[in-house]
Amino acid sequence: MTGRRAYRRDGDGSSGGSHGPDSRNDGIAASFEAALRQGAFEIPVCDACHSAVWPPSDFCSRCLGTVSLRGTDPGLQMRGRIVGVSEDTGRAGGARGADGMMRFFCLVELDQKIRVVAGLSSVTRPDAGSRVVLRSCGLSPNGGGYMFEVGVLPDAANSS
Amino acid sequence: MARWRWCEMHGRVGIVGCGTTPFTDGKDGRNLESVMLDSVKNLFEGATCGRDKVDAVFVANAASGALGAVDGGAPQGAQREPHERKRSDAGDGDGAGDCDCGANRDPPARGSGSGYMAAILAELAGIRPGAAHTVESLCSSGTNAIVSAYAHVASGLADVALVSGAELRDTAGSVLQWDDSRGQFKRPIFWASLFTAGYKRAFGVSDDDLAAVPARAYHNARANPDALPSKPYTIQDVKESRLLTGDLRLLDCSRPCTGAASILLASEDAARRYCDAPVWISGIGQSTTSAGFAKSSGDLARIESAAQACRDALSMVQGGQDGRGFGIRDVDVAEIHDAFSVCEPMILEALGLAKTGRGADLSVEMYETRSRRINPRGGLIGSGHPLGATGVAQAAEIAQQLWCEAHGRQADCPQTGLVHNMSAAGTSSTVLVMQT
Repeated sequence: MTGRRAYRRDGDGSSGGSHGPDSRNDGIAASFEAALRQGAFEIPVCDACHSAVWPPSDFCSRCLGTVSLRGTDPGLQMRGRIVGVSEDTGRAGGARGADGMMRFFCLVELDQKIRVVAGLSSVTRPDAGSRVVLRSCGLSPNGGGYMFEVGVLPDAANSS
Repeated sequence: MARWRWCEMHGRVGIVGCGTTPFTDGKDGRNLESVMLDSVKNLFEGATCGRDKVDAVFVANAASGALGAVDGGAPQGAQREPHERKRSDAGDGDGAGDCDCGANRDPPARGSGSGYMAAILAELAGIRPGAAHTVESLCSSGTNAIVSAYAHVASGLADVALVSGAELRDTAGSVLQWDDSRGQFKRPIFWASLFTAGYKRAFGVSDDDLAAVPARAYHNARANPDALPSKPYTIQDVKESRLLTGDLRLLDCSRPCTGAASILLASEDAARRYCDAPVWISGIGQSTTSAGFAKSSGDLARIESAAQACRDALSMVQGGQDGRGFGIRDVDVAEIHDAFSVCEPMILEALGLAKTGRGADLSVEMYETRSRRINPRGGLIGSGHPLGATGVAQAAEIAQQLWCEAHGRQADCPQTGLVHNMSAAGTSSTVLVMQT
């Protein structure tokens, strides 16, 4: 049984499982959440077939291989594209905030085909297919679930 | 290729009775057991099959999994889920915007649903079955319980099986807490909004087109005595109802409610003893593409699980017209899972009742002609959506349609009916074909 190996994060060899009462288990998800709490999106990758494993799981859904978290360079943000978008009209003060920005939620496909639903602020409604960057991620401040925030890349980046 | 071949080996399974209760806002405070028992009482009133003949009981309840979390079997994420969903813009008590998450609640009070519901129902109904199973599969718990009951009867494990689905309005079963890929947007209105935006974009569908869905649903529901009471909304009412997101209005949404429905399944021999005209379940298809919305969302314009489940269900059915084999063209009446307006055209396309991108045209046509071929009881939007009861109520409606006992909502002389019931943004679907 090589279960402990499944919990190791690339690079530092630390194991998960000690991330406080919010952790939902002692495995990859706990390690992922610990990183997420620090604002880092570490990609769970299968040690055997190298597929991204999303959402985080201790074993790969393709080959049941063990999974490690692959840290991302803090200087490099994950990028992706918008699959679908709708306007979040729910925030106080209406859809358009005092800053003139409108709030949206969108299904985005990030690197390695990882899909998440993320929040997005923009003065105009972005189109499906627009390129985005993962601006921030974390856990809900009141101890809740994952939070993702993306931003639309400038036109130049969008056309590349 | 059909995945089911049991019918060829073990004889048919028929529906021999059904009982429903009016769907309510739950303000009368009735508990789950009481509501469920009410539908069972209605079923057995006047039935030729006595309760002593029932040897399997299946209960469908979407909150069962969430209740497990309270008792210590916490599913991922449940224990740390915030209580953040009571949004000021969408929580006035009229349904779609309410907080249904159930997280951070105290353990449920006695009588509000406690787990072990199938055994509890059996005891309360005076039934001593062999099998007593509770089935939880979110919004498709009802049809999944029917499939489980079918399997028991078809295999000979049971001769007569009672299926009862029930839910309370404030169920914890309406949000899949596990699905963290939805980020902070876990409530159903968010996936429905993304589907609506995606479908409109892909096929140039207008808000007017989609508004025909709830307008017809509420019209049909007025002939359904069990429907959650509502006004007779028009297309204009739908378009002027409160905006919940950029692509979804309040009247586009089915309403959570309290309700129950029960049906009785029997082996072919038993069915013929207890019923003059059993309604045979002649096709079953089930498909689960994933649990999480993000993984199987595709291009947000198609519900693949519905298409696959329907193909499997149709291929299981014997016969068909003109020697062409059985097909969707042979279905006379259908109950489909219109949890939100956009679901109807998407499902019509997935089932093959409309060509790709033309589902909304069919919805508009059915609105203009006041058709009762699809969702004659008003669907989920018109009738209400008590999660665990919905699939059973759909099947009960089709049985009543095939018995020509649907009164003011009766479709034209149907001989074949279909039920489509799905869960969690269409990540799984169950399709039943039913025939006289």
